[in-house]
Amino acid sequence: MISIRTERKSPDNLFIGIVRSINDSHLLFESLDPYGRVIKTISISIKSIVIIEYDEVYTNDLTKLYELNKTQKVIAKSVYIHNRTLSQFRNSLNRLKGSQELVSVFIGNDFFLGRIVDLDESDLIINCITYQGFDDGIVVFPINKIIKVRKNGLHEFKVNYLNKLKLG
Amino acid sequence: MKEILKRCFDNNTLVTIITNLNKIDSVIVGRIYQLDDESVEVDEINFNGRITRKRKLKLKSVRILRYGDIYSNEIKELIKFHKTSKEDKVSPKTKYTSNKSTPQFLMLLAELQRSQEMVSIFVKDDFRFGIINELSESHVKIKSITYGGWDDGFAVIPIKRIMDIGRNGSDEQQVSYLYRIRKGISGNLANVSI
Repeated sequence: MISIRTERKSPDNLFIGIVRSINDSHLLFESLDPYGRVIKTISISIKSIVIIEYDEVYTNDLTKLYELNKTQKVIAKSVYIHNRTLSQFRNSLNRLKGSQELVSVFIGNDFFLGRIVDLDESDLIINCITYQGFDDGIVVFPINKIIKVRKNGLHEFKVNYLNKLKLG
Repeated sequence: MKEILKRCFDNNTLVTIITNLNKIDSVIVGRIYQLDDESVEVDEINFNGRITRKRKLKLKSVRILRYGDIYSNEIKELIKFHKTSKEDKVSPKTKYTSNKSTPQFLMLLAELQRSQEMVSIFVKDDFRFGIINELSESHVKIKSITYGGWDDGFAVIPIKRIMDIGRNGSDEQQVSYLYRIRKGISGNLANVSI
C-alpha cells in the first residue's frame, strides 16, 4: 500500500492504494477512498510522480481498513440528532454518554469527533479522538451552540475502528 | 464552562479557546493568568511555542475550550525547547534552491545523507521534513518525520522534482528537537544533528 502524489492540481493529485502492474512508462493503480474501499483502477504516468510514500500512519490505517473491507461488508447509516428542543437534546446526549458511542458534534461550520464524557445544564464535555484514532484531549462546548450530533456514520465507524486498534 | 476554566487556571493548563468558529484569529492557545466572573486573560502562545501577546476575552464569548490535546502537548514541548536551546547559537535557515542534476546539488544531498540532519524538502506545493535515508542519481529517499516529531514512514522523491531544501532553520530545529524527545535521545538540545 503506497501513496502517490502527482503533478496534477490538488485535490486530484493524491492516490492511495496498490500497484497492480507496471511498465516502463505507466503503472496501473488500484485507488482507495478514505475508508479503505476500492474506488477505481487508474493508470498513472511514472513521469508525473512527485512523491511516493509508504509506511506512514495514514497509509497503514488505510491498509487495515482495506483488509477489514475484504473480510466484511461495513454497513454504516448516519443518524443525526438535531438540537431543536434543548431538554430533549440533553436527554439524547445523556443516552450517548451512557453508551460511550463515538459521535461527531457539529458546532459552527466545524465538527469534533469523540465520546461524551459529561454534560451539565450548560456544557457538553467530550474526549476527542483524531481521524487516525488517537486520543486528542478534552473539548468543552456550550450545549445551546451545538447544531447537531451524528452517530453510526461511516466516519464514526472508521475512527472508532482505528481507535480500538490503537488502544490494542 | 467557568468551572473548567478555573480548573485550567489553577493547574496552569495550556488551553485552546475558540471565540468564533468562522474566524481563524479567534483561536487562542495559551495559559490563563487571570480569571474573574466577567473575563479570562490569556498569555497567547504561537505555534512555535513563544508567548506573543496578552489577550483579554469576555467569558461569554468563549465558544469552545480545549485542553490535553496533541497540539497543546507539542506546544508544551516547544516551550521547553525555547527555554533550553541557546538562541545565540542558532544559525539562520539555509535554503538551497535546486539546480537539479548539477554535481554540486548531488554532493549537497550526499552531505546531508552523511550528516543525518533534519531537512525540509520542498516539491511543488508541498514539502516533507525528514532525514535522508538513501540516495541515487535520480531519487532521494527520506525517513519522513511529522511536524510533531513523529516517524511517518518513508518518502521517495525524484531529484528533478525537488525545488528547495531547507536545513538548520527554526522549523527543522523544532522538528529535530521533538523527534529526539520521541526517540529518547538526550544531549545538547541546541545541536540539531541526529
